[in-house]
Amino acid sequence: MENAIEVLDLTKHYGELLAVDHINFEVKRGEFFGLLGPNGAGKTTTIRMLTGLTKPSSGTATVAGYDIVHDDINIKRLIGVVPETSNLYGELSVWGNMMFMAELYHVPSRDRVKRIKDLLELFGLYGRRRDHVAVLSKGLKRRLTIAASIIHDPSILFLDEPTAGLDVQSSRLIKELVRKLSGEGKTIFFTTHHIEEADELCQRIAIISHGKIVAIGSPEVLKAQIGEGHVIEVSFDKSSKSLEKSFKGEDYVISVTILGDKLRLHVDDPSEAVLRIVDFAKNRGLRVISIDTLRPRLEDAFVKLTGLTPVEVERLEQIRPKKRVHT
Amino acid sequence: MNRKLIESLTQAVYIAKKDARVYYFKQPVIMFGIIFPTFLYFSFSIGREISPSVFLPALVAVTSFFASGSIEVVSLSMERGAGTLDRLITAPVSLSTIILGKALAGCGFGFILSMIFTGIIMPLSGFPLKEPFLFVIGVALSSLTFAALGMPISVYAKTPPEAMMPLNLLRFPMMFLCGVFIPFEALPISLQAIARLLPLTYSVELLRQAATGSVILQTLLLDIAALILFLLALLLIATKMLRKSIQ
Repeated sequence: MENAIEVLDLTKHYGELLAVDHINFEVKRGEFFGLLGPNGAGKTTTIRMLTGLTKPSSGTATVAGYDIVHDDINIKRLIGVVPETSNLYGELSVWGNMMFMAELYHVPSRDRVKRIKDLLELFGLYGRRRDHVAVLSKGLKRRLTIAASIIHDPSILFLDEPTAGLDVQSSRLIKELVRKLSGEGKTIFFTTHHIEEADELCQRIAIISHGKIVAIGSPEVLKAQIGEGHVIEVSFDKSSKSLEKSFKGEDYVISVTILGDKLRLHVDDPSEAVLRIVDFAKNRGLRVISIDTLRPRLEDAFVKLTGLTPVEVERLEQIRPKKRVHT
Repeated sequence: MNRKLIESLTQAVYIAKKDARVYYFKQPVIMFGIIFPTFLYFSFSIGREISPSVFLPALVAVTSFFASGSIEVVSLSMERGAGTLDRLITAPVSLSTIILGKALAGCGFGFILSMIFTGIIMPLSGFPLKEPFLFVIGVALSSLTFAALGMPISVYAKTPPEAMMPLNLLRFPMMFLCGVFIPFEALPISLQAIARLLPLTYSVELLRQAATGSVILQTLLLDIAALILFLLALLLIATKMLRKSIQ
């Protein structure tokens, strides 16, 4: 079985609302796969159908080779599910929650204590094992939710926006843990609306918008698809406005825009452009304050493919600072 | 018994055990499971000329009725509201096992409270229990059936009051129709016919026979069969409704 997940024409209606519209994709065994889309695009509905929390209106899908409608119990033995909101029992202790999950997932009784201890240590929760879950911070609850979802060592892990609403430190820790699980060979199905997070973690991404998959591929392939060349941002010890006209006349520059004290140059060949900019500065006796070449961003691909404006993407929140390759 | 069935029953017990730890001491449970039957006992017993053989078995049945039904109303609705029901549904557990586990939790609560009441009020009223074994079986079966009664009502609720209101609308009239306050035989024929469609009638009848020792085999078997039928039908309906809720 090469594919861990295969989705064929999967569709979900909620009354009049078409939440997921004939989507198709597959996830290879051991792959880190991301479903990226704005809020309300159909990510959670997709994950709910694949994990047996809701039935599809039409279409089919298999998880670990089993049909999601007819073999759901077999699927549930092999998957772990981390929902968008931590859903543990606040009245039970950390240990009590883990023990209940171990019992529910048929972890043999002789292995339970060791398995729980190992996981709590891995997730940095062993010291809090006697605490009631209700008193844990959001980040700790999130960690415990992931730990509880892998108590039975599943081969496929579904994570629905696992870092949503977390502080930077907790978010980073969760990503490290998920990366580690991926490194152990687990298939990861990950939904997010954090563009940079998908770019950073996923081997392949499907972009979903209005219930439809609008693009699918590796982050680099998606970025290349938009074909908008490269961008260089440069600032000198002279007003950028006074230099704008000069750069417009340069043959290696496609377009120039002013961005605060910087000039943003769209170019075809960034390595040639950097050399020419340095020459430009030398010839005019200017000092280069900073020069950055920006790689094509997944955000650009996302904006183009989902039809959202950059402002709307900003509103989707938490778009990380742009990744830069300093030259 | 095959392996799958044993696995399902074991998981149902795990769910019941978890529910006992999480929900037995929630406020609506204490209200309807403990306080209400206690006050009912005082209303029955102080200054009234009702024979203990009539009201004590009925009071135990009502205790089981309210206590058992309170657990799954609280647990199902709170699990749905908090999203923990999703955790159960995504586990390798059938929906019927989830429903059975919840019913067992309710049954456990109703059974324990009913037995505590029995242990306190029977000696206090000087009324000897004639068939204690049958009485215990009757309380257990009644508690399981009453726990299942609240299940279909609670499946869609997201908060306890959402489920408690319709359940009480069903429970309070049952108390008047099922021989708790008024002996069954004293009811008009038309109401007797309605009472025969309600599980509390059979529970009161069964516990009265066990308490007084005046057992009529045919009636006893009818009471047990009726309670089992109600139980199976209610569990089936609740499972179907839970399945529908995730369509």
